[in-house]
Amino acid sequence: MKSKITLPLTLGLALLCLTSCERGFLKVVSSSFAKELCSCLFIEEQDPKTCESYASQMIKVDRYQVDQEKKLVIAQAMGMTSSSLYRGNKLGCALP
Amino acid sequence: MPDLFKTLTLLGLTYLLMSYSFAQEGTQEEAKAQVNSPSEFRQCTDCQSYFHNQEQFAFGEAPHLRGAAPWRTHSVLIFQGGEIVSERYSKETAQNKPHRLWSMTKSISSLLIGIRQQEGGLSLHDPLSKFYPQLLNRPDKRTLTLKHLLTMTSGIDWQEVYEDNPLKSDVIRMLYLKENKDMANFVLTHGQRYRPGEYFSYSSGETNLLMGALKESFSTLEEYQAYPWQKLFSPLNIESAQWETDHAGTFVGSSYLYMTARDLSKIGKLILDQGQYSSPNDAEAEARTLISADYLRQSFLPANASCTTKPEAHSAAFSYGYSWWLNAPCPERPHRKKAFAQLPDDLILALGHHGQTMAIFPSQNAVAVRFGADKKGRFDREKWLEAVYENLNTFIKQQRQSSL
Repeated sequence: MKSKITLPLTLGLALLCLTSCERGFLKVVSSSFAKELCSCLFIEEQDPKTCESYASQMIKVDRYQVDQEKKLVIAQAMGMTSSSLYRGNKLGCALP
Repeated sequence: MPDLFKTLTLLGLTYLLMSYSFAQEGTQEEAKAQVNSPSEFRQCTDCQSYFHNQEQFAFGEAPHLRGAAPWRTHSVLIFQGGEIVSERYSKETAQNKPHRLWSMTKSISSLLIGIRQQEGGLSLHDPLSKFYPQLLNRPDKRTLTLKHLLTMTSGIDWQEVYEDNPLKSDVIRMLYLKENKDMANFVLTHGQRYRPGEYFSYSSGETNLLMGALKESFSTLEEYQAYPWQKLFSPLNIESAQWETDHAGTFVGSSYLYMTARDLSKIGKLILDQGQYSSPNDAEAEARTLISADYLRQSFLPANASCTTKPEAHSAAFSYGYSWWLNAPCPERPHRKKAFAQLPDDLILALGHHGQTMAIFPSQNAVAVRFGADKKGRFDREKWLEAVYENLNTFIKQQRQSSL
């Protein structure tokens, strides 16, 4: 599933980050994916494939899991892990 | 033998009764589908044919587009004069599924501020330091008011760029990094780039700070979190709304409200009716004021700085009111070009990321909603709205002629 341009892009962003941003920034890939996938699946109730494509940005996540029972998304990218939980009660999803 | 006969007769009767009751259920189901619940708008199926052009454009079916729909429209709904006259959904979504509004959320946040002001919980002229006393030690923010936040003229130093420029983006930090825990306080850590009121700069941070101030105007978090439903969604019979908050419990007023196209059009209708809500299927019921007509009138006047600031790429030539994009000309700058030259001056817009659009046409008594997932920014809103406008005018003309 991972496109061929993912690796150079990842390395590029990592290099850029060494000079111009703090390490926490690397988390943006997994956290934006986890949050937007969670909202797409559990609020909008779109189908999983459409949601995966919608939540993916230029740099794809390495892997992710969806716990349908807990309504929880966990995603990994660039050595970082993020999760997003659907809280219900009309308050949607949030990062931890 | 008679026993068997009895059993068979009983079975036969049971079958007949059951099939009858199933048939009854079937007709009831069909009836439900045809006549919406009392809180829903009537749907005019005969009207749909007048709106083909805009629909074909929105879903990428116009002949010159050769069947390609690169801008991924999910839903289109047009409401005119009390009825839904055009409605269609792609396979990704459906009539009963909430959809992300992205920055259209800002315009709805603004309605809540208006409602809170009319009941005395806050005033647009309140200094922000009334809600965040730590600002009393910040002379550069002393004159900052809620109205500045509402009109994107706070002058707070902020980078409103998105996923195509993540390293520079304050929005990405606010929504996805540790700053997401308390978005309003993240915005407060930013310095001033301009003096409040001087310069228009569209900023998601400002709406979240405003929603933080709204929260501070309540004594409990529960009251605040119930407020949008209590004062706006429930009275309008909006049942699909979900609104995400940060960890401080503040609504993400910049981006994270979700509802169906039908429910969003109810907010459009409230604006057409100048803040008065009346039941769509009960002409006898008394109208209720949900939001003051005066606040709405103010909301759709171009903020001064939005007229004097040179438009940035993402704001085009729109003027901006209380978190609504406007096609209204600027009184101080009569020669400044309108954003959408072919569309009426009184056009009011809520706009969001990936092509989310709600257009309110007061003179046509109409609302048009478009949802989508246009991640590459290919959807031409102006062209779609021109088609909507043309379809509306033909439809209204036809209605007038047939009523003569």
